[in-house]
Amino acid sequence: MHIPDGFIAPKMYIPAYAAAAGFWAYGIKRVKEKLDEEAIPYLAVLTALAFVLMMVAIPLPGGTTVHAAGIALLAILFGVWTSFISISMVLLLQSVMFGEGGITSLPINALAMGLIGSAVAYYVFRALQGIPKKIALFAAGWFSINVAAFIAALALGAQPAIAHSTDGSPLFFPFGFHITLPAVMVPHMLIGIGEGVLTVLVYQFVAKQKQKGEA
Amino acid sequence: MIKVEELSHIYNGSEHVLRDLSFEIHRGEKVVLLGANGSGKTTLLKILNGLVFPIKGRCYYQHQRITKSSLKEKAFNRKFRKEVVLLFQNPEAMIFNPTVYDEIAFGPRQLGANGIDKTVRHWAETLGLSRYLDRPPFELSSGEKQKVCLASLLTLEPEVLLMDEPTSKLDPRSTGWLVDFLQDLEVTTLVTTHNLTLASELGERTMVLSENHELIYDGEIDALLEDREKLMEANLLHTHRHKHGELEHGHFHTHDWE
Amino acid sequence: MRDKIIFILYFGSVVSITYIHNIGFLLAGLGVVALISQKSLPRIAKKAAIAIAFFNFIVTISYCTLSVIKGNFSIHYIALINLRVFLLTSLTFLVAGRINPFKALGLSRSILYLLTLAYSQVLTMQRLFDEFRQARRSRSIARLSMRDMYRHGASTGAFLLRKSINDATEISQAMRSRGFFND
Repeated sequence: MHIPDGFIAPKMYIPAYAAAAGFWAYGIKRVKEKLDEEAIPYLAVLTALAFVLMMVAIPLPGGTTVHAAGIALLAILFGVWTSFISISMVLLLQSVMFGEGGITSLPINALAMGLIGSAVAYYVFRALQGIPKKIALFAAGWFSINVAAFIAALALGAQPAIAHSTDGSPLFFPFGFHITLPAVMVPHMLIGIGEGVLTVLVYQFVAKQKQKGEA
Repeated sequence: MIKVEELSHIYNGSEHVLRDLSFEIHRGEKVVLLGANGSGKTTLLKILNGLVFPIKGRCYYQHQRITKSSLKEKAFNRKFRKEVVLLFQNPEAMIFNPTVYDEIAFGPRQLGANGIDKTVRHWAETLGLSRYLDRPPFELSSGEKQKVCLASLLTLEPEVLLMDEPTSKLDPRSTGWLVDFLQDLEVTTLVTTHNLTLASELGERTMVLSENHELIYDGEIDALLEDREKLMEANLLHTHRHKHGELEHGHFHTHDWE
Repeated sequence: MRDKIIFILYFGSVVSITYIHNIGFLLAGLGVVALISQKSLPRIAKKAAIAIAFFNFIVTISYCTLSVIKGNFSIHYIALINLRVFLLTSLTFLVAGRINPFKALGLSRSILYLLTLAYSQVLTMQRLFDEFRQARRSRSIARLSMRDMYRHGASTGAFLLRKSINDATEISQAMRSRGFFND
């Protein structure tokens, strides 16, 4: 989701930056431990991968399409921290190089999609080991999107409460939870289905190709 | 069949990829488009296939102008996509079906044609793909993938076949086969290549795109092969020093199997 | 160094602007941006307007509707939010055109290399992705079914995934070969 700068109050994005910075430092450390010398090329390439996965179109009934997120695929295949760092890098490149999405909403998106979305996808997939893989993958895709959207909706919905002028009128994003939650969550429950299906299909394609390569 | 008038195209706001091209291709012609890497061949094919829209100039297919909005008309889009087909240089870009059979049948299925099975098996047989029909296309070698893509285009019985460097993924034997195959095919073809020797085998008429992205030659291949200056200008020919024992000299050279 | 300083100034300005709720000050800020951007002003203003149009339009329209119903409509809020978002986005485009973001954000050799490599990989992948999309368009005679759309999306994703793993290995081999890891 591309929230421009100016809708999120500093009361929220500054602590969010502080929190994200801590997780970035820890995440980079974890990725380095895992990949050693290969950390830089892997992160660079997976950032590019995350970037284009977000360009894949998810068709919805009625002929409209929305963009995929690819969070579950990255998290399941490469781990939570690698996924978190790659998605954060995408957000950085998008805001600085391509002018999409603001630099103040960056830490919130990074935490919602990159960290929590990845962690939810990874642990949902792990928790569902034993049932058919398709269902586990679908659930990971669906939950990653919906939890990330839920957090974004909370962040937006909190704005009028945390920042308003003396007469009570809003200073940043104007709507509270009673509006942001349904407005964001209802479409995402549908979009999540598309994301889930795509997660299953891509994973299966890759697994098939891998088997072939190893045979 | 195809007509191009004063066509120019620009990338990234200022870089020319094509400069003021005008030409016509008639039904049944076999044309080779020669040019060094980066001369704009691929862009021209994509423009003729209605995938990229030029900044300046006009393009017609059977007297109908190819534009973003004309391709939004369902009837023209359907006719155009069935009759003018493009074999991408990278066959991976075209492949997405679960089996070779489905890949080849993808086009006719959209048309709702009859006798799809027969058509698919015919082209698979012709291109030597029969034994792969049940396999996923991504398992094949790149040469075979290219044949799958070619088969999936030919099942549409197109009028115009655009091919982008079709020999770049083929070994010499398959290249020889493709040349023979195209000569017997009764379809208007426009083939790009940077391989000079191949050009003389593939078509009678040759167009040359210079590194300055202009059309610097349009005519018979034999006359072109005599015109060294033109070939040098297009970077299709170069000179370098040679050593034969004690003797050293320089002469013109084409490097075809790079 | 110049790029880093400009970036820090930029970030500081963004934070300060989000503390300003006075329309006069925001207008003055816009004047400063206009003054610095000079000839590129129309281009920057246009880019910023396009970038924010969708989100701001929805927020503004919904706010008007809801607040009129509730009877707490504030024209000050409409002016404040749109002005601030426009100012911040214009400022971003102004700065983006004048600094080298790699130099500004490259705090160490590794980060600089990571950013540059990631950006060039993004461009390569984007080109490939476009190629896949064009091939789909070229082969679509009728509107594709949902099933085919998903299949195409998935095979594109899987291809790019496989390619990224191969590329990562290749790039690290190239880095090793050029002695990147030697010190």
